[in-house]
Amino acid sequence: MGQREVDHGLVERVQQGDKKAFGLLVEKYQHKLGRLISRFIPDASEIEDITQETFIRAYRALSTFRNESAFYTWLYRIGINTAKNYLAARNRRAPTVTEFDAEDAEGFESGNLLRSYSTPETELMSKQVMQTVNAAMEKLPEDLRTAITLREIEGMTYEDIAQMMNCPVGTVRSRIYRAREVIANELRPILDTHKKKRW
Amino acid sequence: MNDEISLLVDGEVSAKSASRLIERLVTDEDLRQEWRTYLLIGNALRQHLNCSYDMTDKITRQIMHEPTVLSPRRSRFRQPFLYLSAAASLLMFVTGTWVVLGGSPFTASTSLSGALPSAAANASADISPYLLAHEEFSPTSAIQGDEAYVRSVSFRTGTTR
Repeated sequence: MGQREVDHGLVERVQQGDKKAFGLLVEKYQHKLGRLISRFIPDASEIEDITQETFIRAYRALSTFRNESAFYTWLYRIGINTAKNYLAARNRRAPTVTEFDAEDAEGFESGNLLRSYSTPETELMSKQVMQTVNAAMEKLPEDLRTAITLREIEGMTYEDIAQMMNCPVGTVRSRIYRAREVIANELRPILDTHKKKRW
Repeated sequence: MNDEISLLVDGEVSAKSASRLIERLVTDEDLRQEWRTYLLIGNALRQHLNCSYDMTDKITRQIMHEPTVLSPRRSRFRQPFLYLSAAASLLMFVTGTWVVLGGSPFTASTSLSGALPSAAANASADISPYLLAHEEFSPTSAIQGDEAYVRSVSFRTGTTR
């Protein structure tokens, strides 16, 4: 099973009437979608509104989603259309640099090209989280750091990581989990401080 | 349990486990927090991090006021029924074409009667005038359809009752 199948499982739950399951999809993709929309719209509050609008539109159209494409590819198209409609309604044109092929959406990496849509406060909080994660990564044993880097940054499957690290898949599973737990332990104090915030 | 959430975040679980974990995530807030933290770590490592105020809550609240999305569950018997309906459609098409082109089952029985030539010849001599008189009702006539049901109506103008 891959990400696509997990997403399809969530979509099926929503299609059967479980509205709360949609929240898991929002949590999973809100940052990625927000970064995408920030290519079109510079204003932080507008980005947030359009990201929300995209998810609401996606929810309304979910009965038509037939699992023929990945959920994020589908969401990506809705996001781009919502942003373009928003700009058209205000007689503003979408920058041409944002015109990606929808099929590339799965592997879309925002990188440094994207504008940050943070306010000063959220930027500070994001910075705090980034510093904590980076510091925790530095402290990780080499094998844990390699495993989580290959997974989260390179997007490799457990099987590929196992081949690369020359160890069983079970070991990769354990290393990634342990790395996450170490980083999560460092993050918890910050997250508890900002309990009212969503990340 | 957290180790399974880690697998779910990476899409490395079986379909059965995924279904069970999703069920738990929807109801168990502590587990949900772990899921969020693991997603946050991934976003931070990929430099995707942006903090936003309660976006999930806002969206979830708004969705609660939306009509529930309901799609029919996909049945595992869907494919066999699809083939069956396709076969039935094909059969209907072939039968229809056969009848329209003059090869009705009744005509087929006439051809079978060729096996009994003398009886067929006698019968043919007897019924020929009958067939000639009723030719317009034959399904093999050039003009078919509503003609049998057409009635002519005429009236004269300038007369009063």
